[in-house]
Amino acid sequence: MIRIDERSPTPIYEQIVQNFKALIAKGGLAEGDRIPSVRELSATLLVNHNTVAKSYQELERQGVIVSLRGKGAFVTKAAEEPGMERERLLRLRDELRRIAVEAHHLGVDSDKLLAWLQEEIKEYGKGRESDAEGAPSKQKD
Amino acid sequence: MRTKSLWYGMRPLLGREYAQARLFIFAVPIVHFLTLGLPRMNEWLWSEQSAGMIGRFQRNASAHGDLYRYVYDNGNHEVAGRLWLLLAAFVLALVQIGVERRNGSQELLFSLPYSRGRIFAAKWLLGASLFGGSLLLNTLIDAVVMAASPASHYFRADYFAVQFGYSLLVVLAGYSCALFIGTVTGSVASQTILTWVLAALPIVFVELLDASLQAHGIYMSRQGGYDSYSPMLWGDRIRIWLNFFGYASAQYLAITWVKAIFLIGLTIVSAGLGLLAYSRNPTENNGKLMVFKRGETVLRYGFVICASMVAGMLGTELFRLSAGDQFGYDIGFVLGCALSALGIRNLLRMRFKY
Amino acid sequence: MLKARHLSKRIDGKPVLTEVGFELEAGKVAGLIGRNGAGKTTLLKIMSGILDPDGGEVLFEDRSIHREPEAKRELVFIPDTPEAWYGYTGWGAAYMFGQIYPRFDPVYFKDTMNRFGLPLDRNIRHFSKGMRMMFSTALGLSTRARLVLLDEPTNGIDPIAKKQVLTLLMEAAADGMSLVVSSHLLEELERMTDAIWILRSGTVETHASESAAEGIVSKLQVVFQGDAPAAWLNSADVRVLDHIGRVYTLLLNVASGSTAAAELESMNPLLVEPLPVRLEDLYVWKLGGETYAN
Repeated sequence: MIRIDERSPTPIYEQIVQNFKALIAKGGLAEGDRIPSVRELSATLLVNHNTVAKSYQELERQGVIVSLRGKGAFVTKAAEEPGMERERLLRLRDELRRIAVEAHHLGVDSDKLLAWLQEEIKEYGKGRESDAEGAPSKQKD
Repeated sequence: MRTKSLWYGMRPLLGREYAQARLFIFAVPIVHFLTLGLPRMNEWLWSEQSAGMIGRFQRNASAHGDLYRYVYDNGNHEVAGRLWLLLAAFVLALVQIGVERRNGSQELLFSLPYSRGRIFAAKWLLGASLFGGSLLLNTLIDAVVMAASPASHYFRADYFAVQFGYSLLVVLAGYSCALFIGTVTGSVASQTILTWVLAALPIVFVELLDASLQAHGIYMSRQGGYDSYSPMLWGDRIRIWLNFFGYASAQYLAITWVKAIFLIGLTIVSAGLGLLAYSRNPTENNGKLMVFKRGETVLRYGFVICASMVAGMLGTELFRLSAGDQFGYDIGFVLGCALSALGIRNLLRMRFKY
Repeated sequence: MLKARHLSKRIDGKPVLTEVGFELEAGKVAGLIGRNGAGKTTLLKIMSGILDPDGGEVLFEDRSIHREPEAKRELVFIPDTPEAWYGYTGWGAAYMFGQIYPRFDPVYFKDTMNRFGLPLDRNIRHFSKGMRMMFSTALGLSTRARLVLLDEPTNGIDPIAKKQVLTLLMEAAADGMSLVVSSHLLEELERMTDAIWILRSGTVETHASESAAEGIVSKLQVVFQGDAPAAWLNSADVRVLDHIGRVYTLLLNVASGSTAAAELESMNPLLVEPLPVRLEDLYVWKLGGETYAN
C-alpha cells in the first residue's frame, strides 16, 4: 500500500505523506479507518521511526489524520477531489511527454505535432476535460 | 546486602565457566578418586595381603616415622593425586584462557557489564572450588577408608588435615601459575608450551647456569653424586628452592611450614599478576605467541640466553680437545646467540590459529 | 547518551583509528559505514569494551565504559557471529543474559524466536548462518538495553532473513532503543538511520541521514556542447559515474571553495539535470578513491 521510491528526489517523509493522501483518494482508506502505528509502519517499510513520525505529524497538521492518545491514528475525512485530480494530471503530463519523445523518433517535427494537438483540442477541448484522459490520443497514435 | 549483590554479579560468570568446563568438572573428582581413594581401598579393604600388613605395621608402627611409612604409605597416594590435579589445573587453565581467545568467548565476556578483574576472579574461584572440593571429598573418602580399615587404630586426623591443606596449596599455586601464563600468552599452543617450559625452566636454567659457570672455572654446586659428603653450595640450595615438582611430590614427612608459606606466596603473586594481566588484556593480539609487548621482550631475551647457553655447552663438547673449555663454550655461545635471535624474531611475528 | 572522544587505536603498529569522535542521542539510529578493513569492527569492539583504546574515551551516559564496566548494563554488543554461544541452547543463553541484564525480557525473546521459527532448545552450533544471526539479534534485543551495537547484522543471510532482522531492528528503535549498525546495505541504512557515520582513514565523519550529501556533493546528468572537457572531468572535484553516448552522469564537489559548478555553468552544457544524491553516491564520493585498507 505505501511504497517508497528509492530513485525519487522527494524526501521519504514527503513520499509517505503523499502515499497516504493518494491511498485515501483512491478509497483504500476511508474516514475513521485506523492507520498503522509508527512502529508498525517503520518496521514494514524499514524506515526510521523518526521519519515516519514526522510524516504523521505533517498529515495531522494538514488535517488528514487525527491521533487519539492510546488508540492510534485515524483518517479524518474522505478524499478531497484535488488529490485525485492532481494524480491524473500528472499521468496526463507523462503521457504527453511520451508522445513528444515518440514523435521525435518518428521524425515528426514540432509544428506538425502542435498542429495535430490543435486538431484534437478543437474536437475535445476545454469543457470536456473529464473524458479526455488519454484514450482518444491513443487512438490517433 | 553487599555480599548478596557480589554473588549476583558473580553467578552468571560462574555459570558460564561451569558450562564451558562441565564434563571436566565431573571428571576431576573421579580421576582424583582413582589415584587416592581407590588404591587405599585396594590396599586396606580388598587386598589379600592386608592380614600380613597388619602384622607388619603392628611390629613397626610404634616409631613415629614408621607409622606413616607402613600405615599411610608415606603419603604417596596423595602425591599421585596432587600430580593429577596439577595436570587437571593446567587443562582447566587452558580451557578458561587459551581456548577462550579463539572461540569468541573472551569477546562476549569483555562486552558484559563486568570488570575483567571480576571475570578473572570468577575463573579462579571456579577452579579453586573444583580442586578444593575434589580434595575435600577425596580426603574424606580416604579418611573413612582408613577409619574402617584393620589399621583404624592408627587413624590420625591431623594426617588428613595436613594432607588436605598442603595438597590444596600445591594445586592452587600450580593453577594460579597456569592461569597467569594463560593471561600473557596469546594462543592455546603457546600457553601449552610456555606452561611446561616454565614449570621446568627454573631447574633447567640453574643446570645451564651451572654448566656455563663450570666452563669458566666457577663452581656453584657441589661436585659428585648425592652420596657426596661435601657441603651444599648456594647452587644446590637454589635448585631445591626453585623445584616446583619437589614441592608437589613432597611426602608426608617432608611437608613443612616453609614449603607451605612459599606455596601461599607463589599463589598470591601469580594470581595477582594474572589478575593484572587479564585486566589489561590486549584482545587485538589474540593469536600471537605473547599478547604483551613486554612479554615478547622477556620471551625473546630468555629464549636467546637459554639457547646460547645450550649452544655454549655443545661448543664445550665439540672443541674440548683443541683448547680449554672456555674457548669452545664462548664460540658456541656467540653462534647460538645469533641464530636464536633470528629465529625468535620470526616466531614472534606469527599469528597462530590455535 | 553515547559519546566518543579522541579515540585512537593502533593494531600491530598500524594506526586503525585516529582522533575518532561522535555522539549519539537517545532513541536515535546510527549507521556505521566504511570500506572493508577500515576499522568498523574495531570501533564497535572499543565501544563495547572488548578492546581498550590507546587514547580517548567512550562515555555512556557520561560514564566511561572502560573504567566503569557496570555502565554497560544498558549497552549490548551483537557480534557478526554468535560463536560464543556454541554449546548453548536459546534458553541457556537467555538464562545467562537474564541474570546479567536487568531488563531482559524472556517473553520477547521467546516470541521473537518463534516468529523467526527458531527452536529454543537446540544447540546454537547446529543453526545455519541466517538462523545464528537472527538468534543473535533476538538475544541482544531481548535485553531491552538502551543502546545496542550491531556488527553487520545482515552479513551472509538470505533476503527473507535479512528483512526479518531489519524489521526487528526498526521495531526496537521505535520502542526507544538506540542502535548503532555497521553494514554495507547503503540503501537500507539511508532509510533506517538518523545519522550516518563514515569511517574513513581512521576518523569518523557524521552526516544526517536525511541530507547526508547536502553541501558536499551533487549528482548531475550532463550533455556537453561538442567534445567533453577531459581536463574538467578528470579534475579532483568531479567524478564520472558513467556515460552513455553524450550523456554523462557525474558527481560534483559542491562544498564551499569548489569552483567546479561555476566552471560547468561557464561551459554552457546542452543539458544539466540534477539527480537525487543517494547515500551510495556519497559513499563512492568519499571512499571510492581509496585503495583497500590492509
